[in-house]
Amino acid sequence: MEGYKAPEHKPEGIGRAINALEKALERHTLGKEGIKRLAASAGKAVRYSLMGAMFLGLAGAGNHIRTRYEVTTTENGGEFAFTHPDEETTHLIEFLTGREDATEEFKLLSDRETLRREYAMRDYEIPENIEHMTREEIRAEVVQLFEIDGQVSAEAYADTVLGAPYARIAFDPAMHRTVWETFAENGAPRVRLATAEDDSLTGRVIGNGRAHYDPLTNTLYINPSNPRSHYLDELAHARQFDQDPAGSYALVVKSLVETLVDAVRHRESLQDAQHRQYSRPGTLEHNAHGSRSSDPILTTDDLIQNGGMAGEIIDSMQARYHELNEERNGPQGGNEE
Amino acid sequence: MNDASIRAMSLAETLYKEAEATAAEEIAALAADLTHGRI
Repeated sequence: MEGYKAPEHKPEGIGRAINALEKALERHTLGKEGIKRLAASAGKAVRYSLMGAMFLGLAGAGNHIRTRYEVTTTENGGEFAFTHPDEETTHLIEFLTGREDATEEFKLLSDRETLRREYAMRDYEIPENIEHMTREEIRAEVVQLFEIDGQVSAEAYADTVLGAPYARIAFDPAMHRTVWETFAENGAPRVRLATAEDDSLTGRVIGNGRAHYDPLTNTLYINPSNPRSHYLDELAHARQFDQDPAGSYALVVKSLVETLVDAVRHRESLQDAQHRQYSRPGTLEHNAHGSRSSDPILTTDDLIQNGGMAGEIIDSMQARYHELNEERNGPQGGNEE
Repeated sequence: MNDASIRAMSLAETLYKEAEATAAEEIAALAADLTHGRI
């Protein structure tokens, strides 16, 4: 796949630099001078970061209350409709609950993420023009990759793989209402798609394209590759900041410093260092998601248990869902068909 | 978002960028020096 080679880049970003250092260390020893230089760089970075974190915390804690949104609920003959002040958020929640189809933009971003993943799985360079490719061009690339793999019915397989993230789930009024009510109870953040082109501060620290929650703007970013799972996971962070903005910001500051120190100490990328947060009790990530990565599926029957605050959200959703079904069908009705 | 928050965020962002750029530049230089046997 030589045609897919991206031009050589000058190292940029600390993750890339640390990777270069890691490669160099495979063949050479750091020595006294090297250790001194590394410690000096880390010291500078930590000082700047602590100052940055202080300002970020001040700005964020003061700002959070200003970015709480209200969901509007209307009822018409037992049918409930919900709107968020942000139109894109309303659409995304409606898509997640099976009320609406995904937009073309969602499908394009999703297809692009799928192509990126397929390239990454084969250790191919991501082509620079990927951001300018149409859905048809992306599909042709994916088909070509599957053909190279020797996949039978490469075209049909490509359509299945590409279409899975935006397949519309069956609409269930009780689940729809449950999702919206739970969303409103947890600060009703804006919802956006996380993409690899995301250049926000948070996006750069945790890895562009990864789902995350930005407390400064009360915005939840979901990656189109697994939108329902990401939505629930990140709503757990929205809940943390909604319930305790100041305490959560303190944990953000701690997490940023720990991540930077871990990146240098373990000679790894910032993203890898940030992953350590999930298994460390007392961190924002551990409190939100528990000790394991969750994979909840937001369908009628498939809500599964999770640790941390995401688990609390799912428990409360399950309880509300069954309550609504009982209201509609009577105590024996439940959800059974 | 009020002006003070925007200024504080902007300052925080600048500091993070500075931290990242400084560390990245120095660590990349260290990696290059190691690779080329200069240290």
